[in-house]
Amino acid sequence: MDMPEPDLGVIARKARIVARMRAALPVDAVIDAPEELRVYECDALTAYRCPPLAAVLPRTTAEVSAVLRIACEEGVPVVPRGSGTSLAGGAMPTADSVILGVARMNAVLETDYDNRFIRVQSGRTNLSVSGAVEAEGFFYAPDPSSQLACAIAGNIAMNSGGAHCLKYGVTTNNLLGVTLVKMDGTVLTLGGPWGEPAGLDLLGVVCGSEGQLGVVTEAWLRILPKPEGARPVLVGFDSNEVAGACVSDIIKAGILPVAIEFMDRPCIRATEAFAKAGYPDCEALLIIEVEGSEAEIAEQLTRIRQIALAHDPVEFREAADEDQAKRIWLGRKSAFGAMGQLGDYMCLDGTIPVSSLPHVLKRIGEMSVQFGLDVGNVFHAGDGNMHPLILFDANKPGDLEKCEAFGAEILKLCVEVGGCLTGEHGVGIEKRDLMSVQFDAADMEAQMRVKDVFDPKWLLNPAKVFPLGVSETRRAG
Amino acid sequence: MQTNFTPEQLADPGIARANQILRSCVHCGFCTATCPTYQVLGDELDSPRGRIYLIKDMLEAGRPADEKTVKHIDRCLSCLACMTTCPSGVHYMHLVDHARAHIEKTYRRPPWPGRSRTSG
Amino acid sequence: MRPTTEADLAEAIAAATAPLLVRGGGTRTIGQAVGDVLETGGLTGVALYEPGALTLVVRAGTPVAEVERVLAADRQRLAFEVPDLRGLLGREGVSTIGGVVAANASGPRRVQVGAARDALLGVRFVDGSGTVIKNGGRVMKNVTGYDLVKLLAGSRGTLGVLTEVSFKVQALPEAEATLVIGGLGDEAGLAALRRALGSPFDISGAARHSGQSLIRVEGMAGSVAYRLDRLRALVGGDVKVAEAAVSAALWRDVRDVALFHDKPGEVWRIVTLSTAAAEIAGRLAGEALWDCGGGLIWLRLDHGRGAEVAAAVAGRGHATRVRGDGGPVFPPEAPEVALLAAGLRAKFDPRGILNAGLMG
Ligand SMILES: Cc1cc2nc3c(=O)[nH]c(=O)nc-3n(C[C@H](O)[C@H](O)[C@H](O)COP(=O)(O)OP(=O)(O)OC[C@H]3O[C@@H](n4cnc5c(N)ncnc54)[C@H](O)[C@@H]3O)c2cc1C
Ligand code: SF4
Ligand code: SF4
Repeated sequence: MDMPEPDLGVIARKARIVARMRAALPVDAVIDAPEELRVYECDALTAYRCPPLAAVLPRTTAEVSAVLRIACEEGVPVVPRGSGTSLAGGAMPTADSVILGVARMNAVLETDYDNRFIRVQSGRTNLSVSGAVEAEGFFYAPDPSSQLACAIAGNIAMNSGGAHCLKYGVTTNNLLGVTLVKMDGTVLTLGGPWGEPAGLDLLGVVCGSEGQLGVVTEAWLRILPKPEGARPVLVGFDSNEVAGACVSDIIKAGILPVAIEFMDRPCIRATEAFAKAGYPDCEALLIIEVEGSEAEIAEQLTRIRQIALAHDPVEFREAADEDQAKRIWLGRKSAFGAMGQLGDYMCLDGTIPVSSLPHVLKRIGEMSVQFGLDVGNVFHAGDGNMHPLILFDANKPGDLEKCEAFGAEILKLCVEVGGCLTGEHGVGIEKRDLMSVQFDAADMEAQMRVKDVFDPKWLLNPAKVFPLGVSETRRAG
Repeated sequence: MQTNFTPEQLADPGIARANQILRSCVHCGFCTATCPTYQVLGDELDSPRGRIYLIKDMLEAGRPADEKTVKHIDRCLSCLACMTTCPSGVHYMHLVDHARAHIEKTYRRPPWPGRSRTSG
Repeated sequence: MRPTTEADLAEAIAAATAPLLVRGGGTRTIGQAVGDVLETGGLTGVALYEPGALTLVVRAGTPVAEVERVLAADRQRLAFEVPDLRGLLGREGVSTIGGVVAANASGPRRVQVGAARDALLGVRFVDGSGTVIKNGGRVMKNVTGYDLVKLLAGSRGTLGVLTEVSFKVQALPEAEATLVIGGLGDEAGLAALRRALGSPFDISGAARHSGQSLIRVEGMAGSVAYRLDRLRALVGGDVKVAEAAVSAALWRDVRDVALFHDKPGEVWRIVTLSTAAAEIAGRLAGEALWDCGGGLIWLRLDHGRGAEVAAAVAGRGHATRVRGDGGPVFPPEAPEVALLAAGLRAKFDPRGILNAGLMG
């Protein structure tokens, strides 16, 4: 993976830059010792690494603004970081850049149950946002599998989704407003607790801009009353086609489960070996979750059972109690950890139209043989967001490259069938060079214009999202 | 995650075990969420994932422990909340024990006043 | 001008030498812009409809009625409830789906599913230099590159002219019903809406006008009956139930602001916090229709009270004058935000010819 040549001038000025930041921030907020910077050299995508020039850990919006103003004046690229759980390398630095971590900014600033919002500092973790309103019976809906650790900052930057977004939408549908600091240090408010923009929807384009338009320091988030209850069912099938048809029939019937998750055989076997959730050994497995009161859950499950049984499943398992419900989810929730036991993995997240599911899974199977690498699929089936996990051996020379090539072929296939490169993890550096598969020059030019307006010097996280060749003249300027 | 030990290093059973543990860590960061020192300090150097990384660095290089690495490892409370949280079953306890042994062997702690300065 | 293909539209914009007034059906335009009329009504037709994937791709000039007909044939709909503002604004003409997106329209179901932007999966548009640009796509989850889809929704033709839009659609519910609560003052009536919205009963409409609070639930028949029961206990007061077509008619009126049809004066659309809504309306002493649990106020006032409206809303939301003459239509933005908006317009429409001056 190519990264731009670091600016040697900036590296030469390190002492001065660090001194200026030290003067503007509390003593413990600036890290510049090489042995301490290694920890910040990558996020959850460990295949690509590079230690930054320095790392800063501000505590307030004013401190963020001060850091950015200095960096802007010194011409230093800045890479914002939340919890570093990005799977796309979004928070990976370059040698001439400063990591700006918001992890210390994790306070709850305001909760308003009457108007149903919460305002938090952006470093707060996703799950602890729900935690803060749980006692009053509320929750924050977007639930990435990484929700225990990932920060709202990263969620906003990546427009993260989760298993339950089929019903509740993704981050952008639950984000009401932000405090944003531009690269030049200007602090501004976009949106607000009332949740509809007055003019252009700038908040809408900031969400999902991968830390390239500004640093989000605070956010207003919509909170929702918790449903009375929820229950999953597990359905096993002997073929991917039939499982796909079942999903489509459920949706067509007008039932809106909160989640429909899909696992294929390699993934089922890996999770069984690791988590022993008691899944059937079949070709395709669906976990369908519905919400509501006891009676409402029963009403929906009756309908789902009818539809599923018409497709002749090898197993239809309902959860009689909380314990059984947990077991149904256990395997799905352990899927990443389980695949990780088999080796290193690369997790892709292209989206496809649900109707292409059988075709795409078949092609991935063929490619797996061709590339000689195993792959398991977990899948948000309701919305077509795939998660092929390609297994490789990071310590074996050449394996990563093979894995990257395989991954690129899968993503091209996703685009070819009418889908996209990434459904929730973001482009980062990982899919940067594939952008031109999905977009032509004019499409990317239009996106880059937005960055031109927010960050004319292209200093914020500049080496991401757009192929280096495409963004080159701007980054130089 | 990838590791860079030479075959000679791996001949040492302690390093071989450490390598195995490091290989099983996928660097997902879940453990940061339940680590008390990270909760308070908000610096990834004081999180399990960060410590694992520091340890990896130190062992791979085969170099004596340095003051900064020691500081962040010293801050670990050995509460093992990280192990309970880890979805990949990373055996942090073995790893940190190994690191501490390495520190004892290779690092000369300054006398007390100095020590309280570096760990403060 | 009324091009019938995207290429012709792009050519027309590239060749334009004077400002263009972009128009779908002209049924929901607010604000003033001048120029040669560029109509999108020639770009029609459904490009793709996959009911099993809840996906619809349609050309921007397609009449809303046509879109609704196509969806209804498969028992589906646009979730965000497209308002028909012709009665309110005194317009005639055929509302187009592109206009709906350009205005980021929404109806009462905004409390549950958001506005047009939240259902919008992808756009194709032509920018002010005549370049065709696509963003988003037809799949439900897509974070590839920047989200220009959201930026275009609600941009009212000032950044580009939409040629094609794709939506996530929704299945028609089996049943709907509305609790009609009388006997409460505005403050208490809005508090009842908030109580309902804070409950787990998945409210799809919460409005108040003419002394009545309305709370809607939709879904499977058994579930609707159950939630009505629970809500009735929760909100108290003098409660009646409207079902099926009767309920639908109530919400059509809220959606289209029927209360103000054929009545004189300015109409303001105020987006605010529910807890501030009774006070704002009370202070301005006009006729009010509250939607979205009070988070949206439609307010009918005498002419020329813009300054008072702005003062009443200040710091608690924003107000747009959708009907009436004189004074600004859109609320002012903070200077640093206005600068960004102006910067984007200059980039997407460098000659300043698309609905110039409409939004500021
Ligand atoms: C095991 C595992 C499972 C996952 N499951 C999901 C899932 O189900 N759904 C999903 O969507 N994602 C998932 N992810 C990916 C990841 O957790 C999300 O992308 C998450 O939102 C990243 O948050 P973070 O705080 O860790 O951000 P980081 O990794 O620190 O940064 C991510 C991006 O945000 C930018 N950024 C960070 N802070 C700011 C800020 N203050 N202002 C502006 N930009 C900023 C960074 O520059 C970077 O581009 C998963 C990751 C892992 C490891
Ligand atoms: S949770 Fe486990 S796998 Fe993830 S970073 Fe921590 S130790 Fe590594
Ligand atoms: S054992 Fe150490 S690293 Fe693990 S959670 Fe406790 S303090 Fe943190």
